Amino acid sequence: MKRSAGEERVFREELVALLPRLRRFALSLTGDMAEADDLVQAACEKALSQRKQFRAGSRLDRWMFAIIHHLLIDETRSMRKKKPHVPFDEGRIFGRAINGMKKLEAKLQLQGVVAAMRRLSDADRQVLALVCIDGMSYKEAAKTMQVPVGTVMSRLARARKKLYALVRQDRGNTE
Amino acid sequence: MATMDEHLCSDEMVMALVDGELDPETARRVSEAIESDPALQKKAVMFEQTVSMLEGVYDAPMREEVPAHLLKTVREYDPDRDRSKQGIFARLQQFFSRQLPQPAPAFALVVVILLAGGLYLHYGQRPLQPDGSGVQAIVTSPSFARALERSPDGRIVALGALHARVSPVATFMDRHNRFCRRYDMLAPEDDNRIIGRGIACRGQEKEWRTIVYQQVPEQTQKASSSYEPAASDNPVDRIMNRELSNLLNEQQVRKLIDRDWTGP
Repeated sequence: MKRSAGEERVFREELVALLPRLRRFALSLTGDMAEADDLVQAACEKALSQRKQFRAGSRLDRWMFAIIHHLLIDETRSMRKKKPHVPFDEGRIFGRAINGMKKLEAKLQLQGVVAAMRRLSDADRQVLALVCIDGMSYKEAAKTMQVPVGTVMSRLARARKKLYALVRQDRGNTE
Repeated sequence: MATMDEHLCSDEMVMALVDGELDPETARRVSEAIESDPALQKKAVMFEQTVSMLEGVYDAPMREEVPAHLLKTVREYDPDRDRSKQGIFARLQQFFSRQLPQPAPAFALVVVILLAGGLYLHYGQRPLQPDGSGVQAIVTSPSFARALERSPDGRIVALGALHARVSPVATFMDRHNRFCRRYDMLAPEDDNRIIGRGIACRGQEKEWRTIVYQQVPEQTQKASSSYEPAASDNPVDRIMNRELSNLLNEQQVRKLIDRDWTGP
């Protein structure tokens, strides 16, 4: 069934409104803004190409998050493994999060968190990004990840414990 | 009963309490268990801290403007036009996914790909080889154009099925006011071996046409993340030496990419 021009326009505008969240999600998965933007661009192209598969009334954000994650798994994992480490642009990633705190301490802590996130698996980062960064409920995250709520809970608990341990370890090394 | 208590004290339940995901009755019972157990209290603090750790770290995209190229993609991307540019495999995949019931499309596609792959390897142009054969297919591919269109200098981009990687090294505006990029072609498996060097310039239709390509003799060379003037006199270096004063800096290149290569 062909979509009307009006529906098409609404779909695209909803996608535009979602872009900041999609970029944040992709950034938390990749840790690199330019790479995140490439991922979001590819996901938008895929969504627009396959929009017939999107059921009206269902949640566009979940669909887009799932596309981004699948793209990351399918297309960029091998590339990122081979890619030399590119130091992240702190100013860009952290934005104004540094303002209003003791700068050095905050910077070290944020660096530690970003570095720890990089060491987690894609699945761990995905569940953290959905629940702890995007603020989804366990149920919403489960629907996005297409897994049972119990799986989300166990993955999330595991990912948070790993993240906490890595950040603590990093802090211990720098102190 | 012991099993129920264990369940209430599990990592998942403590975390769910911290996240406000439990119904009131379960929340009360887990809270009671935590109050009487210092180890569980520590665990609850740990789960709470992971949320505050991540707060704000990745929020820059929520505050800054969405790059123009992304907005343009969402507002103007035409999948039908793109489809007409797609290769035969993609079109076959779409055809099978429309025409055949599952899981027949997957099987049919596998058969077609195996057959086509065999013919391709036997008669067709092979992927990029150390001797440089296969370059033409790569530099005229959409993924190559996309890599030059979207990647800052120094980044290495895998070209997927083409078994090659490309890395833009320097960017400049030539005397015809075209944006051009000097790139390294890298071996698909080895991180640092450069197979060839080229310069591609951007046309009005966003196509990146390679104007000169130089195969690098079989030797190990390290990929560089920035352009260094060369002493040799091969065509690539000759052009680059001429354009040294027109090189754009990293910030200018990033801005151009964000603005879809418009502006100075």
